[in-house]
Amino acid sequence: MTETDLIAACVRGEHRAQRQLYDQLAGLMLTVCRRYLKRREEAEEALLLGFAKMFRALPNYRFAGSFEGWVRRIMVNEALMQLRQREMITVSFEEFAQPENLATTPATADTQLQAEDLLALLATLPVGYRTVFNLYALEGYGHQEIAELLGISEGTSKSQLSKARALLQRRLSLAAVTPN
Amino acid sequence: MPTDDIDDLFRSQLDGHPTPPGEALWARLQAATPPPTAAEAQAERLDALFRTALAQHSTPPARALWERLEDEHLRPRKRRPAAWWPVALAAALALLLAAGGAGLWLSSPFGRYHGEPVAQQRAENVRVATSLSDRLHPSSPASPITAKLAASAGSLAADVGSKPQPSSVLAGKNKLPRATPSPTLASTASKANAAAPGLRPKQQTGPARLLDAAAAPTRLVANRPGLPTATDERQSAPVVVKALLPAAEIVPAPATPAPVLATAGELITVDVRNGAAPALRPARAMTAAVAAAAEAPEGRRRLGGRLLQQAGHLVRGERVSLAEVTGLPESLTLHATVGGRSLTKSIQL
Repeated sequence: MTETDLIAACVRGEHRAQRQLYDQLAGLMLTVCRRYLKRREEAEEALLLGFAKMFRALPNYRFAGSFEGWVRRIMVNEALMQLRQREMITVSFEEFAQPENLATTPATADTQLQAEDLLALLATLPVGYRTVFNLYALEGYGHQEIAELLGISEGTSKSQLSKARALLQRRLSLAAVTPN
Repeated sequence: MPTDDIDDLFRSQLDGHPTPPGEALWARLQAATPPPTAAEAQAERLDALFRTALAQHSTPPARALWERLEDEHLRPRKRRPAAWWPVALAAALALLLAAGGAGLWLSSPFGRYHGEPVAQQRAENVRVATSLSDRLHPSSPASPITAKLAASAGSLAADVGSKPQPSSVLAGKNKLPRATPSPTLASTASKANAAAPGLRPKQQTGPARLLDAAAAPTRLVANRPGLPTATDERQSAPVVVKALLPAAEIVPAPATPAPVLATAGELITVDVRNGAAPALRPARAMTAAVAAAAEAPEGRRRLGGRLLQQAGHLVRGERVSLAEVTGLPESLTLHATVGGRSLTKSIQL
């Protein structure tokens, strides 16, 4: 069954097609949600609501662009909504201002880290840093889009991104020094 | 030179003519676009690291997540009614059963106020009096006993020992209000005795203590089924209401002859006031255990009705009377005449 047939069957409300689409995308989309939300339970809640919205919006899908990209955008929006409901997306300068958090050494052994390690590293970031970094570096949004999406200025988005990168590099280097 | 020739000259000489740039021009152009710094390269490498590592990373969701998605979002209408309809039906049935049970309970005799009919209580009092007379005069069941009844208009003394009690009088007595339970009056009588000059309850011995102790067993006997009815009691033994004070000194022994009782007897009147209407109840002559008969008109009313009435008083800001709810009298007045001296004691219940 092709992707188009699967989507059409889901639009008709076929239970098996819905389950198949869920099985195909749930793992990938849960990773997306976990990048934005610290706790796994919150990420699963966002995934649940995101799939519900996706199935409701499926009759309006026009087959323009990647279907996975379309679903990913729904999941990102749902994760951001969960973030707004649960915690304010604020900028934490205090943590960045600590000397030990400043990037003093370049990341060297970063490629050796596994995806779960990177997810754990992302979870240690302040929510503002994490959100802007995810949107810019991993989703490909521009600063103007991020500013509109989060209700902040472009300058704030840029500064959050640079600080997030500096913090990640610092922690990556520490992780490379202490492999375990 | 014609104008057209000048145009052709410039066109032919300059079209496709190259002018080689100077050497410094390229260097200046290179300096205008600086190469990416080390920091930018590092940032780009960091982004690529996360992008490649997480782009296709899959986190297996919990098994229950699909079921939740089905139950809560995809097919909520098929399962939810089956979940709550039986509960709602059971709750409605339980409510109906509870309401029906409450209605049956309130309409049954058990749910009503346990006020006994006047005739029955009168008969009980007669039994008490008969029992007392039996204890006092075991050998002469038909011996005359003096009784005095204090009505609302005043005291009415009647000697019923020698002649039988007319049935019309008995019928009139049946219409009297319900009697106050005898245990209450037994304790009240003790107080009356204590109020008497020169007498203390501890000094009461012999028959007086015997009569006190006789109150409760008499009541139990009166409630036992199979005993003669009130009418039978009245026909067999005349109604006797007599106070014997001070019984300990006057009545020497249970076998004391009746004339001694008749001469030594003193009268105790008990006024039972119920609510705002001052109802002077007939006196219940007592030794210690004689029961008084008084009944409030509200006694027959169902308890639920009285409660509703008091709730209405409460809503309207009027006084709430516990006595009206319970059917008990509000005040009790004892009037004793001992040795020519009159003693009055009012008890506010």
